[in-house]
Amino acid sequence: MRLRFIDARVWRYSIAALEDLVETGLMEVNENGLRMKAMDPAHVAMIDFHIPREGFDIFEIEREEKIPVSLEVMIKILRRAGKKDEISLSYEPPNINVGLISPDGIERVFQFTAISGAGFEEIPELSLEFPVEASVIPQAFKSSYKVLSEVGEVIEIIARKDKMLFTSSSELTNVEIELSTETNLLTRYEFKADNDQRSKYTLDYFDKMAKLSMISESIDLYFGEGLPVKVVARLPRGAWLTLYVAPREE
Amino acid sequence: MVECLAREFGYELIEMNASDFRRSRDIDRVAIKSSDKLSLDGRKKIILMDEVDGIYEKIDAGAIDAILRLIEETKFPIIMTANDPWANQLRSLRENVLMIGLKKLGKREILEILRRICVAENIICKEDALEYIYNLSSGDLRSAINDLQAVAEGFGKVDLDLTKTILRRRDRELDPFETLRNIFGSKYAWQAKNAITNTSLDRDMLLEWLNENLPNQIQDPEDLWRAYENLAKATIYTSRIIRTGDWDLLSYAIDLMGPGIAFAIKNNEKDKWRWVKYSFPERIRELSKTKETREILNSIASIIGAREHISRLRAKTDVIPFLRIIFQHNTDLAAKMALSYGLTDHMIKILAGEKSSEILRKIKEYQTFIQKISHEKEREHEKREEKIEKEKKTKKEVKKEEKISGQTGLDKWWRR
Repeated sequence: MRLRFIDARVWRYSIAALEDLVETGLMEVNENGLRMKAMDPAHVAMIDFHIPREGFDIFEIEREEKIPVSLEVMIKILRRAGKKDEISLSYEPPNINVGLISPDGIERVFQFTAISGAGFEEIPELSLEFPVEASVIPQAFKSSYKVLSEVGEVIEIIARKDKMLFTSSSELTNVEIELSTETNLLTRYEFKADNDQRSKYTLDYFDKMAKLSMISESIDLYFGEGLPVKVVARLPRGAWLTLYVAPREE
Repeated sequence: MVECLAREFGYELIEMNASDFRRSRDIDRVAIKSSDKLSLDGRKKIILMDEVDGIYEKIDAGAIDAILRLIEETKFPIIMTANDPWANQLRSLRENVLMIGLKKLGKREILEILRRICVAENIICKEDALEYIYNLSSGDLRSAINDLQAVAEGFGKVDLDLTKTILRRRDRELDPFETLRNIFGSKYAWQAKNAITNTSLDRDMLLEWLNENLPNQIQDPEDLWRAYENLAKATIYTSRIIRTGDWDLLSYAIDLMGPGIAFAIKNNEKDKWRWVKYSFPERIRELSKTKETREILNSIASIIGAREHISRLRAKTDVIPFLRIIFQHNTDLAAKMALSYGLTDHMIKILAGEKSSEILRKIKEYQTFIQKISHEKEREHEKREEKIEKEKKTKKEVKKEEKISGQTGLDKWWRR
């Protein structure tokens, strides 16, 4: 198996998000492309990362591969990835080679072994229907997270007919950020419910997503009262990373 | 069973096994994190912590506190299982949970399940063989199924001869209640000894359980006297073992607390089999309640011992009683002493009781006073330093001027 992807940072931030939830992950490579899923042991958050076949510059596989990898090791390597670096990945059981290729063509190859005998929990496919959908400008998503996390630990998302509110509060302060198409912070907003929708989520889980938004083309948000929030980061070359976070029980 | 509950109520099951929750960090990461959030498909949760008695107080420090925190913060039900719920390390957990005992299954239920398995698996099973398997299982369905599988897998049929040849009786740990019942109800000495060998209790705890429950089981005064006499002798032997390290004495201790008690019941034989509800040793319960207080008293004794060059025991017996009187009657002196010894708020509360708040207030006053004085002293010290510095400087300048005016050394020539 041999793969090459143009932007190593996509991997760097995506694997960091996955590593935040679990220590080991299963990399599935087949005709459709590459996919990695992870759910934290508390079953509160889930991440689904996908790069389609067409997104890769080189995509050579002989058969479908399921490679159990240590995300801790992988992230240590990917932290070295620079802004314009490309990434190559090859697998010769049990060795995984990750190469970081700098713009001047120098390739640094790191080799580590796949985890043997690791049993992986079957992660379910979620089929949820969300009454609220929105596309947020990545920069707005990132700065909203920054402000909210400075104030509190919990984000409350309130969706009304014409706008969306992010709020967070602590004993001394509270903050409210308004996002709407009028303010140009949302590029798309669909509200299909009859009443206002509101739910609370733990902010910590959005940390890596905020970092990922730096390289995202757009951030799509799906949400509803009493439902998990689904955040999809649209990444370069048709790749995407979806985060689901379960709501808090107040 | 928990899975059934989860399915019936439509809850998601979050399960932690004994190996998963050894450290408090693991409990934080999984159970506490999920205890206030719905599942990803919007369902509520049941948190199952399997075999909590596998946690050890010293090795897994912090794990029990984390579970207590979880119980306090959770929004969902938590179910914990334990083979030995009376284990010492679970003391604080026991006080915060509702204990539900799972009784052994009866003959009818076990035989019914075994028959159903035989039909489903197409195995010819003889009734007497199934009864033999039930007798070996002592009401434990899992071991009965394992035994049935062991015989059926090898031979494809289950009859009495095969089961008798293949299966052996298991050594099974007895819980505290079974242990007591077996000791009291023993007909022969070996039965009482077996009960002690197979008990899940350690020796000291068994002595406590017997001590607590003897008067419940034995009603005849003479029988009770005999039983206590033997129990007392058993404690003498156990303490001699600790003192001398001579473990040969253990057999005497076991004989006295097992057969010694079983055969103490002579006048009223009915007492042996009378059904009594056994209770957890009250002494241990009381000790656990006062554990924190005793620990604080020990630390006070350590502080006084180190300061006054006396042992901790001496401090406890000779000094602390007087300290209590001082702390409860002379708050001013108490505040000064507390400051001087460096006693904590908890220590002051133990010594002073109701007067503690008054003492704590006075300590604060003294502390601000001391701070003020020390600030003043610091300022004075700084001023003095500045003065000395200034004097030094002026002396240097004077010397310099003297040098210049006196034109000594090379300067003299240079000036020319």
